[in-house]
Amino acid sequence: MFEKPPQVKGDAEPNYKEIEAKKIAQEKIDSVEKRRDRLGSVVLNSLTFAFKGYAAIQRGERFGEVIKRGASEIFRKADVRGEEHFTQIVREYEDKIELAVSDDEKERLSRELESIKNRWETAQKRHGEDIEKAQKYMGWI
Amino acid sequence: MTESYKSELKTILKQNGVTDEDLNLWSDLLNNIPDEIFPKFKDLFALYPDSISFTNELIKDEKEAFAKKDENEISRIFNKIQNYLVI
Repeated sequence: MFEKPPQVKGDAEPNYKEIEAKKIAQEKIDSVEKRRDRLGSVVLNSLTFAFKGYAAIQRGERFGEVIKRGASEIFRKADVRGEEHFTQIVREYEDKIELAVSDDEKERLSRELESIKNRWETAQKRHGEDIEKAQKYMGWI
Repeated sequence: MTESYKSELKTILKQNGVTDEDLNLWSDLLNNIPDEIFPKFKDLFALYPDSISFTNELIKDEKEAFAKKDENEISRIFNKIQNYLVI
């Protein structure tokens, strides 16, 4: 005789659902955070800053201004791209929620979307801090 | 950047065909990069292996542009970065 597996009931079930939603949310956010534009903007600008061109910036030289403008443009455009990809994910979820065939599915998708939004907020904060570190290093801020 | 970070990154670069001469240039630059940024180098290089040769060429071009303080050259380099990142 086999023993019956323990049934997951009560508090354990919503917990499991939360964990699953967070896991899926993290995968979605990673898909934005690990994009070439997102990672590359920080890495390549950091390398440029490592040449210590800030001396020229601080002296207000035209060469310094060109560095500042070029690097800022890369940060800005990569940010716009990141937002676009995040918005795309949110839209896809909203469509899926609207088309969900059951309340359970709707609830699961809504939970995942909520988690995605929370994680994006954290990811954006962290990304902003990385840029700030690089800019501080350059003496811009 | 701490020593262990630096040596780990240099090993990755060397394994991907960066020459000893180019590694010397990297060594100078790595000293000037905040530690927190290091994992992003690893992620970029692991996920997009072509970024290693691109970055290696880029820093050689930048070295020249910075040495000459060549505004046109540095603008051209930033455009090159934008094209590479597709932004």
